[in-house]
This record gives sequence, C-alpha cells and structure tokens, in this order.
Amino acid sequence: MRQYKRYQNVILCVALLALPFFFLNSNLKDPSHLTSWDRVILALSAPAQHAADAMAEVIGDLWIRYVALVGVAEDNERMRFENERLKEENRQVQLLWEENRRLHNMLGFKEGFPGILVPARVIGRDVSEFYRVLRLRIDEGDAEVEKGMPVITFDGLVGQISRSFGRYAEVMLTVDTKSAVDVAVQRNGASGMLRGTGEIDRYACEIEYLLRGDEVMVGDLLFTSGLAHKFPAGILAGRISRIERQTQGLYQKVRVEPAVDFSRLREVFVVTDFQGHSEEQPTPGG
Amino acid sequence: MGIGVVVIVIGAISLEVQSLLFHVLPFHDWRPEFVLPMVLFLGLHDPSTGRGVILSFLLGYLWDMFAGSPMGLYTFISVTVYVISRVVGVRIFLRGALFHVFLTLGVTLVSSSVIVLLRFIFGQQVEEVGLLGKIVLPRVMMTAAVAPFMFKMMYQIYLPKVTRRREEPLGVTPGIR
Repeated sequence: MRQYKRYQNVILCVALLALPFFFLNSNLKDPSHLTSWDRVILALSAPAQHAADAMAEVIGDLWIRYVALVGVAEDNERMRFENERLKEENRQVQLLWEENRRLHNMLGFKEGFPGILVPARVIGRDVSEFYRVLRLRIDEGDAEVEKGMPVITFDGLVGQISRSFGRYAEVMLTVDTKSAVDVAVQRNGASGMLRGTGEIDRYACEIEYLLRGDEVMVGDLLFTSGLAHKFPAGILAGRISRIERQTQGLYQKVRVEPAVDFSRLREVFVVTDFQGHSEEQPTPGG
Repeated sequence: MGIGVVVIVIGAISLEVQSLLFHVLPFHDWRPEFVLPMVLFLGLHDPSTGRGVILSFLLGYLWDMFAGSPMGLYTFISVTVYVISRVVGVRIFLRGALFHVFLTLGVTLVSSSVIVLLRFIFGQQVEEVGLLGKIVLPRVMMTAAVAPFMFKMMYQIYLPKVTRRREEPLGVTPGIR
C-alpha cells in the first residue's frame, strides 16, 4: 500500500508537470504549425483562461476604482471620453480637408483634359491572385460607360472598365495579369506593353516587348503611347523600379511601379471619349 | 479542503499585491514573487505530497492568469519548484530565516533558468546573458528578501491545520526520493 502511495505521488507530480508543458507547447507554437492535438488543448484551456482572466480583471478593477483611486479613476474616465471626442472631431476635420483637396485637384484636372471625363467613386475592391478589380459608382447618372473605357486619376492611369451595369462599373487595374497597355518611356520613346503581375502582396507591373537594345534606367517615367487608340496618349502609367538585363533573346525584363496608389483611391474619372479614339483600331492594349 | 482554499485565496491576494506593486513601483524589476516562497513552503512542510503538488499547480495557474504570460509557464515553474523543494526537504533539514532566504534565492534562480530553458526549447528569442542578469537578479533578491515573511505567515496559517490532521514528523514524509 505504501509502495502504491509512493508511486501514486510520483505519477501525480509527473502528470501535473506534463500538463502545463503541453499547454505551454501549444500556446507558444506558431499558429500555422498547430496540430489537431494543439487545437484541442487550446480549445480546452481557452474558456478556463478567459474565466480566470475575467475574475482577475474584476478584482483589479474593484481595487483600482473603489479602494485605491476613487476620484482619480472618475476624472480619468471623463477626460478620456473628452479626449476621444476631440480626437474624433479632429479626424473628421482632417477627412474633410483631404476630400476637399482631392476634389479641387480633380476639378482642375478635368477641365484641362482633352476629352470627356465622367467622375466616379470607388465603392469596393476585389483583391485576389487572379483579379485586381475596383468597383465604381458613376456620379453622372446619364453617362454611358462601356467596357474598355480607360479609367484615370490626376496621378495617372488606373485601368479600364471591364464590366458596367447601370450606374455601377468594374475596373480592371493595370496590375491585373489580364491588363495590357501600350506605353512609351518618356526619356527616349522606347515602347513596350505594360502588363500586370497580379501579385497578391503588392501592386506591380512589367513591361513586355521592350527591346534589349533600348536603354532604360530605374526611375524612368512611362506614359501611355496611344498606339492602340484604346488609351489617350500621355497618361502617366508608372515608373521603372527594376531592370533585369537579359543576356539572350530580343527583350529585356523591366519591373514597373504603378503611378497610382490603388489602395488609396477614392475618386476616379472614366474617359468616355478622347482625341484619337477609334473603335476600329486593333486593340493590343485592351 | 478548507486549508487548500485558504492557500489559494492567499495566493490570489499575493498576486494582486504583486501586480499592484508592478504598477506602483517606479522600478519594475525590483518586484518580489510572493507565490514562489509559498510553493517552497508546501514542498518543505506539507506532509501530503498529493495535496502539495495540486496546490502548487493551482497557485501556478493563478500566477499564469495574473502574469499574462503564455499559459502554462508559471504552472510548470510552480510544480517544478514544488518537486525540487520536496526533494530538498527530505534530504536537508534546516530551520531559520537565513535558510529560507538562501533556499528561496537558489530556487528562484533555478526557476528563472527553467524559464530561459523553456523559451529556448520552444524556439522563443532568448535574451543576452547581461540582460538576463539585469532582469533576474533584482527579482531573485527581492523574492529571497520576502521569503522569511511568507514562510512565517504560512507557518502560522497552514501548518497548525495540516499537522493537526496527521501526526507525521515534518520533512520525512515519503515523497519523491
């Protein structure tokens, strides 16, 4: 009996050492490497942990509010509320100021553009490995927006309309793998085709069919060439960010950072007509 | 069972004081761990290994709650300290505040080393030795300094209740040998 009792204590000690070890193992593991067993342990420990946490919080709260710092806690709460209110007001003012600045820029841009621009607001974004799409609401109800129409901002080229339905339209961004736009390097006129890379974690494009002999540099600006008559010429499309010189073949590989920060877009313009636009032309850019 | 609840309540109050000290004291590192001497006391003086290890487990669990550390860290440390003190308790028989101070000093150092070892085992970032010393040493010294008071309190509250039930001599209970 004594022997049994002794082993019983040893087993109890080992079990109570092993239990927290397993909990610790599951808690410290990278979430992407959790096994089913780890998930079971975490699921078992979470409710107990939550209850105990809540209890500890209640005790601590009681102490702070009613024993140690009755007056200070109330003052603090009031001032925190006031601070939050002022912060919110400040945020609203900043948003209005930012919107005002954007609209002012857009107005100037629209008046100076050699074509017809229809303003639209961005109402949603789809980001997947295969599609990079913006959803728009057209601000002018009677404007006819059709597939293939270029979409721009005063920063540069955004993409082209891929689908339209009533006052709403979808834009295929220049970073979409299906997007292809004829561009030319501002510095020397070298031309190629801008195609999206479709990367999930960044907005990027590449230039295809840029001849190996064409001298380009990092930082060179790319503008739409207007060759396919699908996009108006002279719209900023991006900036060369990396060049991989090929030792063989006709072309070189050039990486491009788009001119527009797609993640911050709020208002855009759909180009419904522009000088040199012709539906009969071949459309490698679309 | 009653005395077990008392120990847990004392542990919870100690941890609350400990966390308050963390907020109040300008020098956070110089903060004692009150639970560690309690676990040490259980290992040295509780005649029942079963009760002692379960109480150590629960105290460690409470400690985890208050510390906000990964779940299981202080529970593991607490049970480890209990087992170590149980082994020490059946081999060494010393009394007095100085013994408590030195024993707590040693055990706190061991527990800090176990934390570092666990972090290493689980692939966490392990701090440099100098930084570790800066974090650990104040904690070890403060814990050792409060150990005599915690032991005295446990002697007065805990020991009369458990020795009244079982007339076994202290420190010779069969345990882990």
